[in-house]
Amino acid sequence: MTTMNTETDDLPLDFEAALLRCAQGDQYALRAIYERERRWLMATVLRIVRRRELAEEVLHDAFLQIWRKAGTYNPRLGSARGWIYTVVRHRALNALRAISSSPERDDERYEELLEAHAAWQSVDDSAEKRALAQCLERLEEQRRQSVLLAFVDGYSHEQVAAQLGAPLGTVKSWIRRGLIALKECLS
Amino acid sequence: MIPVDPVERAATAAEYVVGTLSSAEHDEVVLALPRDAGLQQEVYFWQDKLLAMTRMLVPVEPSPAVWSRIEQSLKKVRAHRSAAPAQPWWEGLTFWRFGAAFASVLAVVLALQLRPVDAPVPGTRYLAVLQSPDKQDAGWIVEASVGGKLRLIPLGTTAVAPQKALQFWTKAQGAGAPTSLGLVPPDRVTEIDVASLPTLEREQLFELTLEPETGSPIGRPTGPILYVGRTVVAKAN
Repeated sequence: MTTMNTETDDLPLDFEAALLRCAQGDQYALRAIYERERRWLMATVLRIVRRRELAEEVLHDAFLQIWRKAGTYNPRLGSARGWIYTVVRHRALNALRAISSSPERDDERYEELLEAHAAWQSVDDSAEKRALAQCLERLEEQRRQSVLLAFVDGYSHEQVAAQLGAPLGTVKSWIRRGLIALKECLS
Repeated sequence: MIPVDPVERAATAAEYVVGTLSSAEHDEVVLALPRDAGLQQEVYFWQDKLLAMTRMLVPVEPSPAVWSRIEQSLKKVRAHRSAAPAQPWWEGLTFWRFGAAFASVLAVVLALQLRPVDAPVPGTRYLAVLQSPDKQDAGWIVEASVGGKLRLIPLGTTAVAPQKALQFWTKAQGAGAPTSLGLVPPDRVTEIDVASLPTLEREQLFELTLEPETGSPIGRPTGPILYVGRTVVAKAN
């Protein structure tokens, strides 16, 4: 994991309109979403489930779910991309929880995450990104790392606890209090 | 329970989006979302605010076969959708088996279809669509009228491993633990006297769990939840 790659970010796609067209049965709209976002979604899923074959299966299942659930998306409440990533991430988390054995510490993977976070922070792109990066920066270190492990790596409380060598209850509170502090900062 | 306190509610919504809720808590959020506009707002807030974090990773190209497989699967979905007539009414619901938030719409559809033609003046009727916890699949419908029968209707056949059985449970809002309504066959309608339920009210939880062949030995669920849902009131004309 190194810095961001923005080469496809210039291609315009109205995700909201595309998702609404999916709800009306327009398969081209689903294809457009797939084409525009597939590499980022694949990266998200692969990071969580780790195995390429499984990641592709998750991506397949997630796109069917996007197709079926498109009618539940409410454009008045938020972005279609946010909605799509939730569907895809949750699908990946389901797959991960289904195969997870006992939580293990993996320092190499953790290093990668911290490096990716540092590189991400230094790229100055959208206002939303800057706000999030700054608010994450303000969190206490352990809270921030717990949130990163949970979001990017899809770790459960148990996995975060194993990685950080902290008691389960403490980790639960780091994540929850971390998110509450994040909301205060972001609002 | 989903917290009432606004700060804790926001935290629950955040943890739902991030994915750190227990599966029971996650399911509770999924069930509450279609009817809780405030919670929906929180969830959308978080999925947008955290979205930028997905850009920490380097993009990875999936193999071209992925889209071909998606296309193939879409054809099957479409075939199912258009194959509705000539089948029992519940087979026509294939389309609805997929969507989480469609449950209440489905309840309305069912309210129109299920009303017995020659029924006497009906009591309040309740319906629940029992879905798999990941919302991929609606497997059963619960239909019950005050003073009458509860019917548990399969939408397909639930796979049950050897030496296992399906056990049916209900839990009223605020009740501490679910009450067993007994073992049920995986592929047939089960009828139960409503009088034998602890209560019958809106938002009452019904679920099917996988238990040992002779039922849970301890009087509460021990196995995984296969299908779960809450009642809504069916509008009478």
